[in-house]
Amino acid sequence: MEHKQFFTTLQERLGKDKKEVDNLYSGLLQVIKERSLTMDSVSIQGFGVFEPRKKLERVQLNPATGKRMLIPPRIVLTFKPGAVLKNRIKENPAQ
Amino acid sequence: MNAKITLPELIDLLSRKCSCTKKDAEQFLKEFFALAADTVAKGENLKINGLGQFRSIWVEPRASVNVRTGEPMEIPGHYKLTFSPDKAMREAVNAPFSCFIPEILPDDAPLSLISVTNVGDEVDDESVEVYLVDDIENKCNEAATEIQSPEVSASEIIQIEIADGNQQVSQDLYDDIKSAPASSCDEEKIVESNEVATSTNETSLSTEELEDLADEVLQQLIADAQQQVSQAQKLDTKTENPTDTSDDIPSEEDMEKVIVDTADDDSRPDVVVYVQNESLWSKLRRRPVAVSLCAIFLVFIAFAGITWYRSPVWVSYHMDNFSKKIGHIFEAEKYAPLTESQDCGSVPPNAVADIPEPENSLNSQKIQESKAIDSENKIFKESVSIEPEQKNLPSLSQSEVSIDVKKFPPMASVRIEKGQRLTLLALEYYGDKAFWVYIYEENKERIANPNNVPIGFVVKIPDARKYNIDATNPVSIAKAKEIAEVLKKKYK
Repeated sequence: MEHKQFFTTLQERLGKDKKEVDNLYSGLLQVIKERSLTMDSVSIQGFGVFEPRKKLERVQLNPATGKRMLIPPRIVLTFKPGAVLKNRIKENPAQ
Repeated sequence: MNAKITLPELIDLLSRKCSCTKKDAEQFLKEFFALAADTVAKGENLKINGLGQFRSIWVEPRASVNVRTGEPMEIPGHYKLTFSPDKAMREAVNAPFSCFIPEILPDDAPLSLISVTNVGDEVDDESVEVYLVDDIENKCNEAATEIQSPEVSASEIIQIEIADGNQQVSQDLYDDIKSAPASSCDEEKIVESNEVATSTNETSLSTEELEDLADEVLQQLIADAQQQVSQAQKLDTKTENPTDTSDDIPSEEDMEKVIVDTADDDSRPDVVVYVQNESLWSKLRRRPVAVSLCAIFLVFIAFAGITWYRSPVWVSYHMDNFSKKIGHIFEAEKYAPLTESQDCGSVPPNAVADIPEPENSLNSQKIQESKAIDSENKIFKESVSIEPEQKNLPSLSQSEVSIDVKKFPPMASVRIEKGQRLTLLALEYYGDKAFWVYIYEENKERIANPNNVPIGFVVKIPDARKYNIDATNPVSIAKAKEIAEVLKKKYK
């Protein structure tokens, strides 16, 4: 499902106009970013956890050029689905 | 940090951020994630701009082990949800580390450089080592040749001298025996001729021939001794000449011993030994290390000899030794007792005439002859031997004195203390203070000035008989006083 389709259905469910929904959505992203800067995670029951994680630097071989590269350390936002969501996806009969 | 907020807190934060009611925020969040979960649960990919993409992917079934029971089990294939954040979200989260950039590493440059430098160092070390070894070898060879050269010269001298001696002997023999070959430079032939001559003459003409032989031998020995004495007197600085001469003498004596032995017994084995010596020498030439070691040893002996020459006791000791050696030679001739008496008779005049120091030579002669007399118990009836005996009578006492000097050890050794004097020591030990000169005489080498003997110095008190010290005899006291006068003049 694409972004546009997702939001239209969301608007329909909420019964609110697009402006309010975009405002609330941008507020959600900012909260997640702020939490990530302090390395704090955001847990949403029934869905999963958004958690920033530190990755160490590593040497990687560039397969195209064959040259070795030093990848610097970084912080990555990870998502871990909750147990309910996991089980729902596991038994996905649609596919 | 690492704190986890749940939905109620998130609602609170969001309501403040968006300045809306909590109810609106809660409604929005619940609907948002519910729709997302529904969408994902359907197996659809969900892409939300600004957040990221949720994807459900198929995981193949795989074998595993039940952790509790240890039984093998198979994890069935299933779908799992993955999330990859959006680019904007990724950069925003990675903001603290945004300064880092991936860097391409150079191709093994540092490692190769290190290895190259190591190899270079090793090569340098090896070359240096090789160079050092070469240097040492060269030095050793040079030293060996340096050491060899004087030896070679010495050996040549020895050979020449022996050849001369043999020539003389052989000439003497040649007069008597026509069958012997003429004098030639070949030493072996000469020695053989000597053997032939002696073997033929042993029964009939032995006495005269052996007399001549002994004369030659002793003359040479005495001449060598003279050389040594003169050189030792001349020598202020060390040169290699004394070493050569000192090296010459024992070897020559050995050679002469061999010759004398040949004169007595069947001499073929001795000649063989001599030939073996020559071949040994040639072998040694091929081994510079062994030769150099021997040379060092010889030089050491020579050095010891030089130091011995310088000491004042040398002359008497050397002459004693010398006479002992001659005595050994004569003892070796015990089996031909007939000749010995004549040797004793014939030798001394020559020797006395040659040697410049009459006292020492006389002493040596006396000792030698006394030993010779001891060694021979049977025959001392020859008329020739009377002459030297008469000469000997006065000098025998001297020889006895010289022997006595060695016999009398110092009576005591006294440590000089404050107020102690040599005169007081003399008074204590000999009964008259005039005899202090003899105490000084005994310690002459170590006392610089008899008037001032340092405190703590250990003085040897000589035995009274050594200097004929007799407190009751006025002649002895007078003699001591004379010596004291001389010393006083010397140290004023």
